[in-house]
Amino acid sequence: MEVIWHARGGQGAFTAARALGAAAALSGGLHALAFPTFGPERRGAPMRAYTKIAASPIGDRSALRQADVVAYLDETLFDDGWEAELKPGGIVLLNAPHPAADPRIVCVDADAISAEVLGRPIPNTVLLGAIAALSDVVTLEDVHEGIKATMSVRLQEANLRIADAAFKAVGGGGSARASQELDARVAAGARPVTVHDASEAARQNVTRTPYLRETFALPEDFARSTCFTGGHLVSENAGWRSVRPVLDETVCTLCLQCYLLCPDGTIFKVRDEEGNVERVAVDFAFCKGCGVCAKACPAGCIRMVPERKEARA
Amino acid sequence: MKRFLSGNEALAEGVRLARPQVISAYPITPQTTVVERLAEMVEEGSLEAEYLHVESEHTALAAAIGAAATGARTFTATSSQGLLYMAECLTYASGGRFPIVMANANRALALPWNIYGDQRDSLSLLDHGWIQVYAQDNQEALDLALMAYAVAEDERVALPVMVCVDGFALTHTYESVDAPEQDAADAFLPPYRTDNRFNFEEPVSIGYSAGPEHNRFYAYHHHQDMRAAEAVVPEVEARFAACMGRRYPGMVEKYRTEDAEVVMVALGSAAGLVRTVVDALRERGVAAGMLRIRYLRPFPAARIASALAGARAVGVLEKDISFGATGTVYANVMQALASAGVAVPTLDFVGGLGGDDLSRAQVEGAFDDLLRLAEEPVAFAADPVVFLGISGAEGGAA
Repeated sequence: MEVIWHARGGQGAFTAARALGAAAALSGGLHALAFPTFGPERRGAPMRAYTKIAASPIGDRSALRQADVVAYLDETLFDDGWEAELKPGGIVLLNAPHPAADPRIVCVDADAISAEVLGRPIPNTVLLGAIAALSDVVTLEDVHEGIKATMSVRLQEANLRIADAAFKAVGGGGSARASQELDARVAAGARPVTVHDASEAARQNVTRTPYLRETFALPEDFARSTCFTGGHLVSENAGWRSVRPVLDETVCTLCLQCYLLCPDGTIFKVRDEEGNVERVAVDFAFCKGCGVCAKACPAGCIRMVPERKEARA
Repeated sequence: MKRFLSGNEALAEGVRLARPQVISAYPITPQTTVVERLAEMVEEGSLEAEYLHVESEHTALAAAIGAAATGARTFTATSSQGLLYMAECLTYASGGRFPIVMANANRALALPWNIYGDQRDSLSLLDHGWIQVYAQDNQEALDLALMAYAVAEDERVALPVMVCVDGFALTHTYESVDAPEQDAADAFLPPYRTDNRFNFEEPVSIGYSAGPEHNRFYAYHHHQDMRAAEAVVPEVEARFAACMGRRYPGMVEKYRTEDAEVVMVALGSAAGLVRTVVDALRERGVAAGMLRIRYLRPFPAARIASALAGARAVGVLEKDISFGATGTVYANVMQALASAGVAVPTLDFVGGLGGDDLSRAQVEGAFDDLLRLAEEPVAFAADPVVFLGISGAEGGAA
């Protein structure tokens, strides 16, 4: 069995991936690998983790592209690409308070189930309990052992109770509660906020980074030096952003403090026809919402505005 | 006891069981959790050691050398730029014949900046007089931490050992590991005793210079004693098997090579995937095999040549490139083949750079290339280096 875990940093997806691996390896007598998407981590940023379980040693340590179970600890990460990650016969486990129309999607209100025990929503163990209910690869007892092997003693008792509650909630190996009309909110929450608008940069008559901001450059064209005219990133980081800077041009004095201090070089000059700097703007494909510009602005003209305000309303 | 550990946690557990007296380290991704875990062990009292928080990798190894020169068993760990930063001290440790064990979490070199795994760091320092061994999984990382001390401290060898563990693919991946009991570890690895140390009762001079009239003797004995490790490793592994019940195959591991027509040479964690693909090919009736190099220094040239002598085509799969030449493992394997007079067509598959996933499709594609190479060697005559995952490059399906 292979599992892809989608979550935001801090939701405990890697702990769940490890606990499932430990359940299979230490209690279930199987072989398992568990690993996160490697690299820098940030609370709130989208991340993935993987669990591979097999009867024999697992040599392939590459990341999974498809899995038998694709678990979403955060509903906002569920998007149109979900089917491509699903192996034939596979299921999606979605942390959502409402059922889904597609029978391949099993919704479980992991936030509510975990909040009832912990007082706040930490959905990871709920999905572990659900996997025990829906698969015959690991039992609830295995999952208990996995939790004990990976969580501190302080957390174990509550998480064992959460796993039990989740196991019951999805029917304990029987029929999953699924297959109702897809709630409109799933569809609304399905797409991550799309912020990269290449045409916006074009419209603003920007002196653009020659390669990366020029829509979709290929590595063949730019991978010869690490020098770019602006911006320090080679991959779009917009998914990290929970708040975005909004600049009030009527107050901005063009002092360029934000331009100088943006750690990712995402603030650029917008010039008029004579080449004079008219205003500054933010490249939202690369801005990760750190707020340094807002702190640095002596005129106080930059506000940090929540990205998902409309989605929450 | 069976536990579910990351490569770094497993390695730290192996180090704890070896009872080092001094640990000197500076953190760097993806090595950090090794030294964090060891610091916790010292703090909680499960490891009795002097833990030195130093201000750089250069000092980490310099301090380890100083500690080793008092006769203490010492450990340090690093990665990537950290290893390069301590490079000056590498030859002090090896030339001084101090049996330090260092873990290197294999990671790419800057620029471009990259924290992910490949093997350019340790391979670029093959010539610094250290024994180099590469783990294929977390169990081997743990076991090598123990066995490395036994090899390093053997008086026929007396050289430092670098235990290389693939960054992230091992260091941050969890799998089940059998952690030995302390009694078994103690039975396997006795305390370190040496005369190569400061001694307050009978003062000695350590780290002196050797001019033109003597220098060659030092180089000669360094070389000969490094070679001696080739005989010591199997002895150490036999004792390890007696104490722990786990067997290791010596300098290299031959996997289904006996009657193989195409053989892939692998290093480190990539061996797991190559093994899986070899099994799948064998099921289809393709005579494929793998040769895993475990120790790259001392270089087991004769073992490599004899394992590859029967093949019709040989590939080397490696996570490094010596720019303008070939991969370093390939260059070494070619030297082994040439020395033994083995003529076989070869290709060098360079992949997994900067943390790029080595995919099953890539390894299958590489074996396809080898099968074609066996039939028509001229098709690949221009350049033996195949970059995996680059469109336009010949072979090695992206």
